[in-house]
Amino acid sequence: MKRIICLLAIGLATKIALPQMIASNVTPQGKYTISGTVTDASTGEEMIGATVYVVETGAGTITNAYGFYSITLPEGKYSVMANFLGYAPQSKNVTLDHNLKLNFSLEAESTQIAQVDVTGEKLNRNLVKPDMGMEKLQIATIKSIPALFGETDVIKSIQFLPGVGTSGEGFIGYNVRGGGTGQNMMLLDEATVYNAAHLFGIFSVFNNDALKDVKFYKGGMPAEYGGRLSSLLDVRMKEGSPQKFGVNGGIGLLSSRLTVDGPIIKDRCSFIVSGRRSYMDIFFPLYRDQIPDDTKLYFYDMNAKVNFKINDNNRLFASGYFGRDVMNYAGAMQIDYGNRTLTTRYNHLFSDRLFSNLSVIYSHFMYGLEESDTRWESSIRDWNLKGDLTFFANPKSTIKGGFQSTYHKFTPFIVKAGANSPNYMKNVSEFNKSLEHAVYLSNEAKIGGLIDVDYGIRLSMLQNIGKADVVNLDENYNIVDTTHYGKGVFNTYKGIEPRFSLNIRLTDHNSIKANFQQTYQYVHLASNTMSPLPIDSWFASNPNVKPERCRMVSLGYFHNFQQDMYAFSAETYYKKMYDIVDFKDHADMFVSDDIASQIRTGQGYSYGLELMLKKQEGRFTGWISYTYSRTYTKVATINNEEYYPSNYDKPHDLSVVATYDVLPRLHLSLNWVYSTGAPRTLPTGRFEYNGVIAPVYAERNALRLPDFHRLDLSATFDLKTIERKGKPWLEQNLNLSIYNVYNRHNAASIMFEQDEHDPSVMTAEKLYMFSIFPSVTYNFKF
Amino acid sequence: MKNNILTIGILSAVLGTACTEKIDIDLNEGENNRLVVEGYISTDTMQHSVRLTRSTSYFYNQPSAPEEGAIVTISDNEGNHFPLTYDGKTGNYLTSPDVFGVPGHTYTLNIKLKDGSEYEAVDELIEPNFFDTVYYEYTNLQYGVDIGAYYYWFYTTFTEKEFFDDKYLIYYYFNDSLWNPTFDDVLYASTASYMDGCGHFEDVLFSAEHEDSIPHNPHVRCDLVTISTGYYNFVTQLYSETVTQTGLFAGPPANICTNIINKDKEKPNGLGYFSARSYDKYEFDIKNDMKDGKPMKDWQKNDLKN
Repeated sequence: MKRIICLLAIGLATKIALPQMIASNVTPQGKYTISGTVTDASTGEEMIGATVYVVETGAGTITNAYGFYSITLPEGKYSVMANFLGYAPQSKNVTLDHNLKLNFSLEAESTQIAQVDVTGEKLNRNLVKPDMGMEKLQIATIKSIPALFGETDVIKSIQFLPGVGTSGEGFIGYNVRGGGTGQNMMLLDEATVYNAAHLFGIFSVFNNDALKDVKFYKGGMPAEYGGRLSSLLDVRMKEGSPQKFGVNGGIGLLSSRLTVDGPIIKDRCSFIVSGRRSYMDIFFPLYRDQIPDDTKLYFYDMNAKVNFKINDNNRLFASGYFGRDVMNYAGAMQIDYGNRTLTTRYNHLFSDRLFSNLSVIYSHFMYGLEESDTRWESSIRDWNLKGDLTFFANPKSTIKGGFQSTYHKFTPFIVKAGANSPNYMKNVSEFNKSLEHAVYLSNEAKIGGLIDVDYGIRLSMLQNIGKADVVNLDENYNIVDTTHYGKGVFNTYKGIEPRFSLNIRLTDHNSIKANFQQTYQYVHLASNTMSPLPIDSWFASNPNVKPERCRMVSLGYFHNFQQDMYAFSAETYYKKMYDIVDFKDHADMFVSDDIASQIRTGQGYSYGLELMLKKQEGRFTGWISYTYSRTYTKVATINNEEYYPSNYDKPHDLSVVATYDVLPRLHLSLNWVYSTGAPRTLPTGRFEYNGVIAPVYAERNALRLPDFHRLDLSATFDLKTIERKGKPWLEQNLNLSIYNVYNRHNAASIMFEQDEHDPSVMTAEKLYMFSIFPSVTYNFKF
Repeated sequence: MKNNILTIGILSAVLGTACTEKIDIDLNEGENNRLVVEGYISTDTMQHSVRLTRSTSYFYNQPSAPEEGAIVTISDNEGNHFPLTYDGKTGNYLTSPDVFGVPGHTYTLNIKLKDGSEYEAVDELIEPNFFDTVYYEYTNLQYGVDIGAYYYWFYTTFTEKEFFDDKYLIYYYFNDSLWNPTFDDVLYASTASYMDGCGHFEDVLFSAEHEDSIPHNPHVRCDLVTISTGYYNFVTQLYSETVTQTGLFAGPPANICTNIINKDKEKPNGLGYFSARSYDKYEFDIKNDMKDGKPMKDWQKNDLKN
């Protein structure tokens, strides 16, 4: 049945799209196409998600990830308008009697206007687009939110959105609508980022200064995306100005950053290079009695991108990221890890209505553990080929199709033991290799004037490739023997992933939306810790581990009032997850060659109601969000195979984010968060063995940590702009922030201590991660 | 594994922001009154003991109550029976002094309580392995840092039998005193094939806490205790639940396994473990832990094969 539905869907879409795509150079009789790009006038950078619409007909579209748009209309005279929040709208009158190139270059309005803005586009976009569950964050928004150590961050910002929870205070890991931290896809210029944490998560790998666009999907994932069950964070880097050189940066307590961009060939070729380096360890000599010499703790990373406009129809991009963390204790113990990505893209316009992109992407994550003279390394490498076509069929239909093929190569471990000790040993594990493929087809269509649908299908597949040794397990998960597979594909999984989103605009100020999606995940995070570790590794589905699968339905009501100044939304969802990966009690995640026997699979479900009220314009902007949600899991051999609350089941979650422009040059920001304490498995009884008090547990996650809440404040002072030759030369500001203003010691975990003097006495202690912490950052821009 | 977690813990602390403080917490403590067994039989000829106590609620904060009046026996698959008698005080039941275990035999502990309930525990006494070499170093440096006190660093090697999957405990005695009595200090491990068939342990003894009582040039005894996989799992789980199971970077807590099986399958099993152990022991005197008034700092080798 599934196969028939799939074939029908592909057949139908192909029947509609293919003949038109083939004939895309031929516009329907009496109709012509207006196409072009929307750019930022000050930098020349293409703008993603800018709205372009025709005043007379109301027909409109938004620019794609490369700033391109296309609208096909009957012959006539039109006024075409482009706008983007924070920029002055621009209107152009055209006489459409032939296909027309029409580029817009938008001038920024007062920068204060866009300080807190979640949509970044037309203010009523939430009412007219079917993309429910998607949030687009402006970099200005991210920079305005008070942050730990003054380090504003993409991931920390999305943790304030409804339906998104944090895996632990100060950590990068996040949970979306009841999904695990390993169920979130993070893309940087289309390259998978397997571990986004710097310094255990105080920073993420996403450097705000190098970023152009951030989209976050917690539902309503378009068919072009897949590979994870719960969410997608799609981060795009800046291209660099093709018109003028610029330098900006910041000096903070823990790190500094510098970005340089500019033209290589004016208006045709530009670059951007952005780097960061932390220097927390320069303060270590002040704590010489606690921290030994040669202790290091730092990270550095670099983003770079070059783009070359060959002509109006062809463009090349190459971008990369390189980052590394080093934590070394006294020169004797070390953890080091890092990501590397490289993306090369080729954009080609087959016609004014048919846009294509071909990408070749490399992604690499590795970690190493070193102690004395033993080193342990693990890594994952991806090589990815991806092609996408966007066909702007008519003002009421945009058809997308494409493919993706990824070669995963996992190296579970390399051990070099005892290089300087009496016995030297070295061992390299077998590589685990697999291919992950996907093809998709989708159509974003308008039905009448009030209904928008975005429907599509994604077919995905995983193939395990030999040579490989795969263990065989008995019913008790003991390894019985090993099967050796020769070269070639020895195991295949397939998945059908339908996607459907609907928007019905009830009035000018009200709409309802519905969404259904099925997602598959073929690559899994090998971690069972409460918070993500930098040394977490990944593995692919295989004969012992099926792909994870998720079905989610969601329904939402959206209402704007006071001329779109305020936006209210209420979304509810139900999610069912199958074959989710967990690990047995007392799993040893470091013994990677035995991981198959450590894995247990099960199912889970979650549901929730997410409310959000945003003030989108004015001196005072921000949002309040409240989420009620529950998440339950049932896994083989765990908790008597009965459902239990997941580690991240926090029923009540409230966030307040606000910015107030007190003066033209003084901006205050605040955020306050509250959530129910996370569930924990805590002992109810005890026994004594070998002089140690050992715990006895009842049900898993039956008790909770105390509730979590915290207030952060920040103030940004725009310092005097220094001018040269009558033009601004140096813009600068100073940001002061206080994290955890009322110094609440939020419990991250509960520990139990045995009394030194009376071993029968136990006391409970809470571990808290952060106290009140003020910080200051100086930012500049040339 | 243990050291990896330690590494992470130390580096977390280096981040310098995490702290702990006491907290009152309601644990929903229900009735906890299960039988707890702690005992073993070994290849040593000695009076073996099995201690029977009761579990309690978590914050009971009193010594465990002994289980008195039980009938306790150890038997093996060759038909040998060893009755145990109660010492009258602490829950310890003792064999006669001439009891020893035989490698390759399977031993069963039978317990019949006053209330009529019966428990059984089974473990196999594994063939022993033997030390090849014992290296030791006397130093005041830990990871290159002067810790302000001298301690011993031991490194032992041995060759495993065919399958490289045996499990061990190692105990160190200095001048006949056991210096690593709890599992925090006992090195336990399974060697793996990537170690190329050669097992090794690296042990730090006499940490700074023991500074006051460091005996110079001591008489040393090392016990290499070969244990079953079941007992190894019990010890590692006991360790993780009581030592490393404390922070964000640990897996979900879970009950520690046991081999104390209630013969009435409708009722809960006991807690703790009855194990069988085989021993290899090596004794030697350290005569030159200082050179010219300074710690020797270099590895000293006792090659037992020669």
